[in-house]
Amino acid sequence: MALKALKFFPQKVRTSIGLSAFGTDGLKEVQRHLGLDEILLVHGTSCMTLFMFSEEIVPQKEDIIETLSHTFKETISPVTEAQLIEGQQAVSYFFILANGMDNSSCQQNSVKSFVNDFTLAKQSALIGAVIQRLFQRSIWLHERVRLNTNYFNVNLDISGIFCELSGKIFETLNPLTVQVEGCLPETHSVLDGLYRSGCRRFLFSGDAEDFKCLVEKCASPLNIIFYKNKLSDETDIFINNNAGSTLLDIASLKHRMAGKNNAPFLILDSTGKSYNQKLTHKFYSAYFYNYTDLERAIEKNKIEQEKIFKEVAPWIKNEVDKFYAWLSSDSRYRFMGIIGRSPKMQNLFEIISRISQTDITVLIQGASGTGKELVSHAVHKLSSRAQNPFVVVNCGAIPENLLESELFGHVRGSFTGAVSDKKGMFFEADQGTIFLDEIAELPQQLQVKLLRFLQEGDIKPVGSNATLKVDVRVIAATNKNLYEMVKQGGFRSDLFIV
Amino acid sequence: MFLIFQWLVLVIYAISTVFYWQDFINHKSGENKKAQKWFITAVSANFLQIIYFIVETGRIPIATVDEAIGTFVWITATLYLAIEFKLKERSQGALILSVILLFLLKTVMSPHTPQEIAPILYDIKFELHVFAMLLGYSGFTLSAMSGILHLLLYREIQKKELGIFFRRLPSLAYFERISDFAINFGLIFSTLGFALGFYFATIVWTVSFYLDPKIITVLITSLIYFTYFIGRKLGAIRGQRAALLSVVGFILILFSFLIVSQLIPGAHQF
Repeated sequence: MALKALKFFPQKVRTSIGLSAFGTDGLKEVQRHLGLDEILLVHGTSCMTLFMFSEEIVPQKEDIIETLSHTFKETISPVTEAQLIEGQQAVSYFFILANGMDNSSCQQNSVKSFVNDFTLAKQSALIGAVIQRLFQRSIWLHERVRLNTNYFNVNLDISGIFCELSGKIFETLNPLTVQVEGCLPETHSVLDGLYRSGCRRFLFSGDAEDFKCLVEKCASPLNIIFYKNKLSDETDIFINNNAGSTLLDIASLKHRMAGKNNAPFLILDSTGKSYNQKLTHKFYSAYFYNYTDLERAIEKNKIEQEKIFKEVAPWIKNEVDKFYAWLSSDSRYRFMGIIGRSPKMQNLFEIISRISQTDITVLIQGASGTGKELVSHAVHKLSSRAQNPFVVVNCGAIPENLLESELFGHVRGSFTGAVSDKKGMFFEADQGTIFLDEIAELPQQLQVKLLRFLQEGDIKPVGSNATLKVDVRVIAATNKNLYEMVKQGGFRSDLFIV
Repeated sequence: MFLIFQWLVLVIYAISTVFYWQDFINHKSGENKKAQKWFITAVSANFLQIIYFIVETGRIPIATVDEAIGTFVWITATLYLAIEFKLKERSQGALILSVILLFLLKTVMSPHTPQEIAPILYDIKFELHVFAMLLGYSGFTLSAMSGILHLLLYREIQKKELGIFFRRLPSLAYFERISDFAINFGLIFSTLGFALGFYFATIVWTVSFYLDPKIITVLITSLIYFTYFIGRKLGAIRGQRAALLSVVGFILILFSFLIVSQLIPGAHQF
């Protein structure tokens, strides 16, 4: 048993190339070549991380590199730098990566890309119970970190910290007017950030070329209005990209402050110009910032985040230990009393946990002795009906003429021998689950009654004129091919809808 | 018995203060909930203490300065708790609870001597006068706390040293809103209290009370708050200047509440 992870950094491989090149076919080939049980490839912006799991063969670093180079030779060869992380370190790295805590520059937006890659790999059946478990635990860990620490609230980019600063001054950014002068590359992300935070009024001062550059490079649909070369009285945030700007002089500032009753005014200067203390004191509700100030704040935030990470590190360690305990115990093969090692059984366990949360009717098909009743029991036990009755009826074992009264009950005198009222199995299973084993043996006229129950949720005891409303979840099982039976007319087609 | 009650309330307030500070520094949601639970317990215990007092003595605990502080603390805590519930923002709690704790320490430390209370002080008109004044003071206290936090946050932003206050406190605009609300609240009740007091004084006091030091300081304080109110309405006073004004007003209140009436003899007992 070994869990292997390979982290490698091919030169200049971008996500777009990676995604097309590292298609599921290629990965399946790598999986087959190396004899792996599970494989997950996570794309970053310029690097990739491969998580592998194999219970029998432990592939060597050379084999892995060779297989990868062979499979993807047209796109990524040569692999210039490869790093093999094994065992506990690999698991720990998985948690860090899945939580977006990897600070290396090549892993931006890692949580999003991680979830995407995981979903794709899952759909292609490249991953099984082990990586699935790792993923579930990392989501749990993510929630723990999110709820208990400030880790994910710390802003580490210029745009984020500037929006946070604006939020601390103005509270809501929605009614604000942003005026921009000139165009510099950094401005785009700041404007996009402001747009995402709710800003909708943007004014521009400067020449037409800069205006074009600004409109084209911004990802957000900014509705920038070309404004005259003058500081607007409406401006709340002013972004200056022009080193020789004349917009922001004492007279215009005074005009703006008086015009808006000293409402706060935030200035971001990209040109590195520093405003003198005098100006700051003169206008007490004006805030002067340049990029260096914001970068200093980011540095502080990084230190803060590292501090929080130290707090989180033992949680990750704990998760790694728990994972190994799970991996080495038999419990990973057990599920509500069912034992199954194969990926198919693991998949079945997942289906059971998913459907049990709903009230949908379930049909379990399979040969005799394959554990259909165990599955139905697991569905019931995992559902919200677990505390209520679970009634098992073997439709094949009850004589046909008695089955109706057994299932739906009867009233006194409805037939010879009916000396008293009898509540049927459906009534007994009210609020719970009924398991109809050998459903294929159900006579045609009872199939109609069952259909009515499934549609309307009510039953009619034999000999009674009144109908009773019951809330029962139906799980049916059969060892016959119902599809064939429908074709031959032995089973109602409206009861069996695929 | 009453002293034990007082100490118990103080201890519960102290515990919640510790949790609020921990939450402020570390910002962990677990501590956050714990802090609020302890705070609710403290306010409830404080309320029971007041009820106990009323049952025992047959009057509201407002006849001496310590009694008035006890009631004032409860009103301030309740008012803040209501704001906390409404706005779901707990970062002010640490500071407000610390101030509350200081006030409570003062009442517990000074020897509780059951004085002979003049029967006139059992009058409902007097009780209403003091109670309304205390409500007003509570509003002004909350406004001053918002003002202090506003100034701390303002300083960090203006100096470009974005530290703990920047990370933990809400926006400057938020503090302005809270401060405005608290001052409006305070002005309504203090004006009401003042009018009631004036009416009551004309009936009870035979001496000239216009030069009572307490009345003069309260008038000055009211002037500051009315300046704040009018300045805000006209848009002339805002931001850190408004915050500064609310802090100055609070210092004057402390001065009139704790020092003036204690040191300078006048018609008021406190």
